[in-house]
This record gives sequence, structure tokens and C-alpha cells, in this order.
Amino acid sequence: MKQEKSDINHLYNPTKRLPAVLLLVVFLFVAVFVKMFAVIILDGGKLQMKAIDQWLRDLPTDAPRGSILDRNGNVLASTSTRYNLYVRPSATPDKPAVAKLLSNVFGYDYEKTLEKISKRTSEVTVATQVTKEQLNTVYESGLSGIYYSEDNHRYYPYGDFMTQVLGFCSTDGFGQTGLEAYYNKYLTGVNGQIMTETDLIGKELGAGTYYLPSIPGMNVITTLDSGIQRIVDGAIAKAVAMFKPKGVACIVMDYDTGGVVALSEYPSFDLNNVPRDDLEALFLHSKSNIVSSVYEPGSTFKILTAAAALDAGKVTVSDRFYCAGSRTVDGKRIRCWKAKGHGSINFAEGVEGSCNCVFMDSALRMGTEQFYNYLRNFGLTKKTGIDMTGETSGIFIAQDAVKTVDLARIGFGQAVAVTPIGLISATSAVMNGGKKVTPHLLSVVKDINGNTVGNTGITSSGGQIISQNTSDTMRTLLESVVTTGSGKGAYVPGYRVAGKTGTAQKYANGAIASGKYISSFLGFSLSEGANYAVLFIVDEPSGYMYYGSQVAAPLVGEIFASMFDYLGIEPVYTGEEAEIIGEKFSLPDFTGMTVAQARNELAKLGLYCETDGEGNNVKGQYPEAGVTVDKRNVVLLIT
Amino acid sequence: MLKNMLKRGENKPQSSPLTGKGQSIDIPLAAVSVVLSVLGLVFIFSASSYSANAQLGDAFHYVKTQAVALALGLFAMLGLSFVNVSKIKKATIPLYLIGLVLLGMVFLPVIGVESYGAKRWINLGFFTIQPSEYAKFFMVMMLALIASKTDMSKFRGVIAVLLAGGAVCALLIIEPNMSITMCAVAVIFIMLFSSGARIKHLIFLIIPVIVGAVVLILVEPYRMQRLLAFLDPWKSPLEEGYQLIQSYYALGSGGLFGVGLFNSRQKYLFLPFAESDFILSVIGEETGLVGVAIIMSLFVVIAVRGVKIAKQASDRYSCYLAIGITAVTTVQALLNAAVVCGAIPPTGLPLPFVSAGGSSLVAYLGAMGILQSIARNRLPFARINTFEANEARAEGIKHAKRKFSIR
Repeated sequence: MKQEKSDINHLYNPTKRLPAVLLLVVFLFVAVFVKMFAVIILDGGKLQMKAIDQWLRDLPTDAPRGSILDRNGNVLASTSTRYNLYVRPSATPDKPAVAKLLSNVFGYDYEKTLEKISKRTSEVTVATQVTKEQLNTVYESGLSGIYYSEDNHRYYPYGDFMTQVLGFCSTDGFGQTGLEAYYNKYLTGVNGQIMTETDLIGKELGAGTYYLPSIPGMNVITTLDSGIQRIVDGAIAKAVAMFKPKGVACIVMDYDTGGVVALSEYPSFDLNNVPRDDLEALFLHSKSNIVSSVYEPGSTFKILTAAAALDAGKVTVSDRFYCAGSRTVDGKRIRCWKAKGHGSINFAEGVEGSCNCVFMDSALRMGTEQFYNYLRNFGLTKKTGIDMTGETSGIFIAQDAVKTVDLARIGFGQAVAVTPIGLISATSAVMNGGKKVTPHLLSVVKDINGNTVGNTGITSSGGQIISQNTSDTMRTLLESVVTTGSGKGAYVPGYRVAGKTGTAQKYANGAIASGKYISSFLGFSLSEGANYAVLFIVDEPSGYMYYGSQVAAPLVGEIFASMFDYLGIEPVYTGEEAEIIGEKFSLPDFTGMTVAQARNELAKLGLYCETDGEGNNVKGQYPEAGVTVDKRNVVLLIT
Repeated sequence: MLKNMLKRGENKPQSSPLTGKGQSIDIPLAAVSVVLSVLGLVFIFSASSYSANAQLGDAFHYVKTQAVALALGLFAMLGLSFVNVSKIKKATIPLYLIGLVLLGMVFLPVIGVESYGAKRWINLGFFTIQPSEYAKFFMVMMLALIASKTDMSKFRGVIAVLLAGGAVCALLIIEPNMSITMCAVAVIFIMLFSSGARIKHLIFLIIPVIVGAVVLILVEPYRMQRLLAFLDPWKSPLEEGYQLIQSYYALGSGGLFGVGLFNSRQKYLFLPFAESDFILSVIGEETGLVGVAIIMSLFVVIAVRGVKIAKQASDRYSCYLAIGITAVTTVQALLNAAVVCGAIPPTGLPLPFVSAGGSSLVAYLGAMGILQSIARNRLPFARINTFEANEARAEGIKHAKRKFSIR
């Protein structure tokens, strides 16, 4: 039966291509499934981690910061939990009662408090740094509308104490200066987290809250001794009161180990009240000048020249020198501090009298290369490696640029600049038998359970710089500076103290600034069980007195006396004490005498004297006539 | 003999390949349709209860709509499976035209509903319908009709099919609804191929389609952004890449066996359209790769049964219609799965039977009913010659009816 009107292609079988279509469809399903497999199984773990991160809202919980302690376990810096108090006015039905409570607990004005908590805001902060006790008092009242949040509070129990050493933290608890910054990685703990399951918009699902506890920071135990620091602070306060200087700095260090026991600087500030608004002052007062500034050391540097020259065999104690009041080196006349000259003296007398000529000769005998080698070995050309931020190294004329005249000046502590920490470290080696020391503050780091955490890598002793013999000689020479020379002010009866005074003129814009001095004393205890070096620096003392012997030495003497007492070092009397100190007597009047006459008179009395001025007649004196003195006093003659 | 041929028994099995009446429905297909729809209801509840409660204040908002649609859809499936294909064939042209009218109505004010920048719904007062869900099946019916009456080896036949399909595509693309359009284009090509269009004609046609697709992408900047987002979603995790990343999170969290039914975490507002376009992501999260494999297998079953029904269809129209309905279902399922796992750029396309959407569910179940109707009318052992004979037989019956005035 043929259908004429139909134009169907009767030869085409409509089922012919169906298997191909089915094959294509199945193939595509398999292909998509392979991609599904890749996403679900191959990338699954990675995707799930990201997904979990998305599902949990985490609230960080601050880890308490570790404490900084001194060597006796006294807490120097610690973190305690404090509270911030809020009032939500809308949730406070009884505002007068709340205002009364707050004004009672925190000493606020009642009216003002009431006004504050009656504001139309959602929340108002009413108190910060609230203690647990205060918080309890507030909550015992049972009044509603008061809320609190926890806050980790960094507290320094002694306030303005070791300010530059300890440093402070940023408001979010990150160490910014001093030990807080240097050992931030130990002190900082690991913050914990409170994770809550939420939906996209942060609504809690009630499915569970996970608590990841924080790990408290570790405790840093230092070599510092708060008792000695307090002694030093007292001396500094006294120096400030007496001399109204621009600045005072003092460091006490164990010269055998390099452990710093006290470091104090004026001016400073209370660590509990950091002047964050006055950035200039904050910057100036928070850095430690002992490690980060250099100064011309003056006579204290002679310790190193003497040690080097003796060790190199270029001089012996008995070598004789002649001082006519100046040396002419390369056609340049360099004056000794004693304009009249020391005359013919031996090396030991030269050290005792701090004769510039003796040290010029010593440096010149060594030559630049040998002298510089010693200075390098003393560690002065590099940083000492003390564990404080911002340390700088000393400044020296480049070795190949040193002229003979420079070499001579370096010999007595001019034309060089060193950091106080560099100087005390170098001279420590001279006193401790010749071993190099690395100054440091860290004793040990302990975790919250008291377990020691790792070594800090600071070695207390290094290589031998000078021989034991040289060291012994230097100890004797420097002890006589204190018993009979310019360092008499630092003498402590019953104990053995060695030292050297230093008086350096300050430079401003490349020229000597008249009337501006840095007076210092570098003292060493030789008594058994107290191997401490004390460097006391007074920057720009005002008034008549600027000699290290008069300004710094007596204060170091006081520091040593208190320290021996504090450390329980028994005095050993030899009978020489009376001779050194002598009887107390009333100081005579020297004004009107010639300088030579006055010197003779003072020598008869057993008093060491310094002069100020170029005149031949004494116009004034300090201490004034009639003041009760003993042989430890140094008299300044104004000519 | 002729009387014998005219004897119709609904339930009487026939041994003669020529009669082919009274076959039973395709049980696997029916089972898969129902299983997918019910699974859809379960997962819609899981995926939407939190978001619906948070956003609409009714945890069962989507579940209720879907349950009503499921009831209507099952009714439509059952009903349509009893309707003879010849009746459907007769209704093809009016239905096709109704489809076009409905698609046009989305652009009318008041009735047309705009959402997410597209006009895809019409509001009939007490409920809204998505005409494209019905129109694509009406289009398939029309294409089957044309292909069954035209010599598809000739280019004019191909053009006729393309014009009928193109009209629907044109209306879809201006909604705009790129994804359904892509789906429709793929179905048109499958039907052209199945109905015997020459390969060279198809290749000749595919070039303008590709060009057209590129133009469409370039015209709407958001399509380009979506395309780029698909290549590297992590570049814009909060913008273009967001959907895909959230889908990845859901699938990745699922692993092999999933986190357990109703335990999805992504459904807590993280995964957008969790109950509709991205329901497969939630299935993946809760039941793992295994769950996804089962769902995809069920669609492969539909493909296999649909092609089998097409193979055994009693006439060309039925065959083409069966292949068209199967193509619509499987292509859309494939595209949805491909979007969810990032195999192709993200595009909004529901998963047939499973995704929330009343129009879609009713349309698909209805289409399955038509497929069952074709199955009931199948000629299992028929081959090309029997097609001839069957066509002739239909004509013969008409002739005999006229001759003997049998009604």
C-alpha cells in the first residue's frame, strides 16, 4: 500500500542511530563522574579543610605573656588578667545604684558617672585594668547592666626600674624595646581559640563549641639582680641631685662571666605609664645609651693601652718615662692633663697618675698594627653581642689611615669612640685573667612548668686576649689608683677595689665643646666572691666639678660599699685602711696660695688634688674650707 | 482477519508483532522516576529546612510545594501513560503553540515574574509556573512530528525541524535562560541525528551554533565572568567563584560515603540554591561519592530505558518523541552534574525530578507518562519493514473504518 502524499524516507531506519546516541550519553555520564571523583575523592581532604575553616567562627584567646625575673626570682615584669567593665544603659534599670557602686569602688564622681551611664548608647566603658577583687565587689552587688571582658595586663612591679633593659610592650602585648623585644619569641605564648559552629551569617548553630587552650609564654630569667639595681638607682639619683647632669648611666657586670647584674640610666620613665604620646621622649629614653651610643672614653681607655703594651712586652712596670707636660708627635704638641708635667716617673706611677705622655709612648712603642690587633681582640671594633636590641660597635680611625699623632692620642683614650658596654667588656678581660667575655642578660628560659627551654647560645668566656701575668699586673696597678691615686673616692675600707677615672671633653660639630664633659669611673672589685665591674658615667655634670675622680669615683665607692653589704661579703682589714682613710679633719683654706704651695700642703695632708684653670694662684677650692674630710676626698683647686 | 486486527484488548497480551497493543508499562523507568522524585523530596527537606526557616520562616516551604507537585506529577504520569500516542500526536501542534504562548507570557506585565534578572515565571494567581519546563517537551513533540513526516535526509527537513526548535530557543534566550537554551539546542541536535539527518548537514549547522554561543557569551558580560570563574573559582571566592567553591566544599566534605543524611553543613546558608540547582552538592555532602554515583546511575537507567522504548516504538513519531523526551532528561541531568562538579561553567539548571521546582517535577513526570504510553504501544520485535507495515496498517484501519463505517 503506497502513500503518495507521504514523503517519508522509507529507506531510513529510525532506530539505526539510537545505539550511538546512547553510547554518547553514557560516555558523557562517565566523564562527568570522573570529574566528580576528582573533586570528591582527590581534592576532598583539601576542600574539607577549607570548608571547616568556613564553618567555624573563631574567637582568639590571648595567651598570657611570660614573666621576666631577676637571678633571685624576683619578678621584674609579669602579666596578669585584668578586666574591662562596660555598662549597657538599656539593660540597667537602676542607674543611680550602679553609679553609686562604681563611684564607691573606683572613686569616681557620682554625678558624672550617672551621666555617663545614662547616655543613649549601646555600651559605655566605665573602667579598665580592673582587678579581680574590684570585679568581685562589683558583681557581689547583684546589680544588672554591668558587663566585663578579660584583658591581659603587663605589669612592672618596680615601675621606673631597669626601664631601658626590660623595655615595654605595645598595647597588644608585643615586645617593643629591651628584653621584651629581644626575647619576645620566648615571652609570647601561643594564642588559643574558641571555635563555634555557625551558619553563613555567623548565627550559632548550637552544634558545639571547641576550645583550643592557649599556651602561656615562657619565663625569661636574667642575670640581673634587683637588689644591686636598687643600689645603683640610688647612686644615680644622688648623681642627678648633685650634678644636675644631662644623663647618667651605670652598668654593673660580673667580669668573669659577662652577666650584667644592673643597668640603670637616667633619664627614664615608668614602664607602667609609657609616654606613648611623646614619641621623641619615648624614643630617647627607651633606648639604652650603654649599648647604643658611643662616647670618647678618655682615661678609662688607658687600662687597655697599658694592658696591651705590657702584654706585648713593649713596656715594663719599672720603665721610666719623662713627662714635661706635653709630647710633640709629628710636629704636633699634645698636652698631658697636668700642664706642669709629671717629671720622671716609671710606668706604674704613670698609670697611677694617669699621665698622658706615658700612654702616648706606650701606644707609639706598639705601633698601629699591634695596638689595633689588641683592640680588635678586646672586641671593641665589633658589637659585643649583648642580648639587647640596638647595639652599635665602637668607632675607630681606619687602620691604614692612622697617623702617628692619632696613634698617640688613641693611647690615652682620645680620637676613639666606644660604647660603655664595649669598654666594660674589654676591660673585664684585662681584670679576669685575660679571658674575653660576652656581656649578656639572659640566664635561662623556663617554660610554665619550670622546665629549662634550650640554650641561648651565649658563651660566658671566650679566648685568651692577654696573659694571666699581664692581668695580675694590671690588677695591682689599678688597685693602687684607688688606694693612692685619682680613684681614691671609690675606696671601700676592708675591701679591695681597683679602677680608673675618666674625664673626657665632649665634641659638638667636630670641635671641643667647652665646659661639657663626660665624667666616668670604671671600677672593679677584687674582693673574693664579688667579681664585679662598675662603670659609672655622668654626662655633662653642671657646676664646678667635672673630674671623674670627684664626680663618679665616690659614687662607685658607695655602690661597692652597699653591694658588699648586700652580697654579704665580709670585710678583711689589713691595717692599711686607717692609713688610706686617715683621721677626719677640717679642710684648710688654700685660696691665695700658688698652685705649687697648695699641692705641697695637700700632699702633706695625704689628699689627692685636681686643678681647673691655667693660673698660678688658687682662686677657689672644692670642698670649701672648714668642711670635714678624710684622705679619700679629692680636692679641686680653681686657678 | 481485519476484524481480528481491530479487536482491542487493553490487558490481552498479543503475540503478533503487528498488533503491538496492550504491552505493559516499563517498570524500571517507572520505578526510577518515582525513586528520583521521592529522593528529591527527602533532600529538598534536608537542604532547605534551615534556609527556608531562616529566610521565609517556614522550614517546610519548599517541601510542601514539592509534595503537591509530586502528587500532581504522579497523577499526570499515570494519566498520560493511558493516553494513546496517536491522541498525543494529534494534539502536538496545538500544544506546541500553547508552549510558545506560555513562553511569551513571561514578558507580560503583572503575570510575568522577574527573579535574579530573568523573566522565567508566570504568575497564575495561586501559583507560579515556569513555562520553559513544559515548552521544551512541547517542542520535542513538535520536532518528532516534523521529523516523522519529512525526509530528514534532505536539508529542507532539517531546516523545518530547526525552525520549530529555533522559535522555542529564541524565546528562551530572551528571558534570558542560557542554560535551558543550551539544553534545548543539544536536544534538537540529538533529534536531528536520530531522525536521520545527514552528518554533513549537522556539521554545517554546528558552526553557526558555536558562533552564536560565543556571541551570546560576549553580549552578556556576566556570562564571560562566570566562564572565567569556572576556570579558576579561587580568583574571586566571594563573587563569581563563590557558588562553585561552595559546591566544591560540599562535595569535598562528603568523601566516599558522605557525612550522613541531614548532616550537611553547607546547607546552613553557605551553599546558594542548595535545594534547587545545587541539590546534587548536598547529596554529595550527605551521601558521598556513592550517593552521587547512585543518582547518576538512575539517570543512565532512564537513558537506557528511554532509548529501548524508542527502539521498540510502534511508529516514527513515537520513536522520535521517545528519544526526544529521553534526551531532554539526560542532557539536563548531565549539564546539572557537570555544573555542580565544575566540569562546565556554572549555569542555573535544576536536576530533573530531584531539584525543588513544581513545574519541573510535574513536567518531567508527565513526560515519563508519555514515554510509558509509547512503551505500552511498543512493538518489541518490529524492524524497519514492520514500521512500513504498521504505518500501512494504521492507514488500512482508517480505510477499513471508512469502508465498514466502524466507529
